[in-house]
Amino acid sequence: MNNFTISRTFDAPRDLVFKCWVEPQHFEKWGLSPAGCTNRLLHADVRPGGYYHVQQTGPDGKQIYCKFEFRQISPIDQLVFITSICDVNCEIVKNPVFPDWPRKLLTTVAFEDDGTGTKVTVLWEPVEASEAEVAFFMQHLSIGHAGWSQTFVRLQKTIEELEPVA
Amino acid sequence: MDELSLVFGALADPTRRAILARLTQGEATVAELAKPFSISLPAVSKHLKVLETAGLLKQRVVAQTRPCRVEGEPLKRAADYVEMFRPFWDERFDRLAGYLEQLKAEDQEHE
Repeated sequence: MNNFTISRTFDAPRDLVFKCWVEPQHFEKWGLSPAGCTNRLLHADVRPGGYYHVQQTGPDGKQIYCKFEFRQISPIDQLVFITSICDVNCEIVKNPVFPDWPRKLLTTVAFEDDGTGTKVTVLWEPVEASEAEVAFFMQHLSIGHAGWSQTFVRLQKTIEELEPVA
Repeated sequence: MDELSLVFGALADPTRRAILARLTQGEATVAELAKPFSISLPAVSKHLKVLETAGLLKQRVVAQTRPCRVEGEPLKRAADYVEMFRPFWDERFDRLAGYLEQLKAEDQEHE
């Protein structure tokens, strides 16, 4: 399988969690960005074919730009968009750290009730990707899918306990 | 080949993973490592060579024996690399969770 998936349950009702993704004034507050980043929405058009153009300013003042292009918006069940790193003009660019990081990642976000909270499941898969991008992506996935990821993690933990790695 | 490719290549084999798992319990000689496997000493030596090339294993020469021990650092770097997508999303989910808490608190103030 050519995709990555991760889930988290949030202690909030589904409509509120969904709002945080599709309402620009809310999205700007967290902006799918790392801790410490300030987000500014340079463009926000939430409908299929529309997109967010986000300026993320890091704690060090460094700025990067991201584009989230909507493919499907199904309140309050699912959201599909393409995640890319771009420039100030919203032109998609390569990841500066990992040049083979897929430039376009199809991001499917599913929202489900989970008790009084909301379970969010993200599925990531490269689209319109070069061979190198797919290889890069697969390199990270093949390990998990080969079924020995757990062994590997356990092994690493044991080793760390044995001889602490500074 | 770069270190990560060597480490992943070395870890792709179940016998080599079992050898590493055994070594996390402490040093062992080649003969001791070979014991649980139905393979010859030279075959075990071959596996050890692969692990050593990947930097996952160090061998000492003590008289006639060659005790092996595991090296954690390359494994740690490989694990960080494997876990690249997970920390990416964990960090973003943390931020969303923080913002949701803030929204809920504001909601309560209004009530």
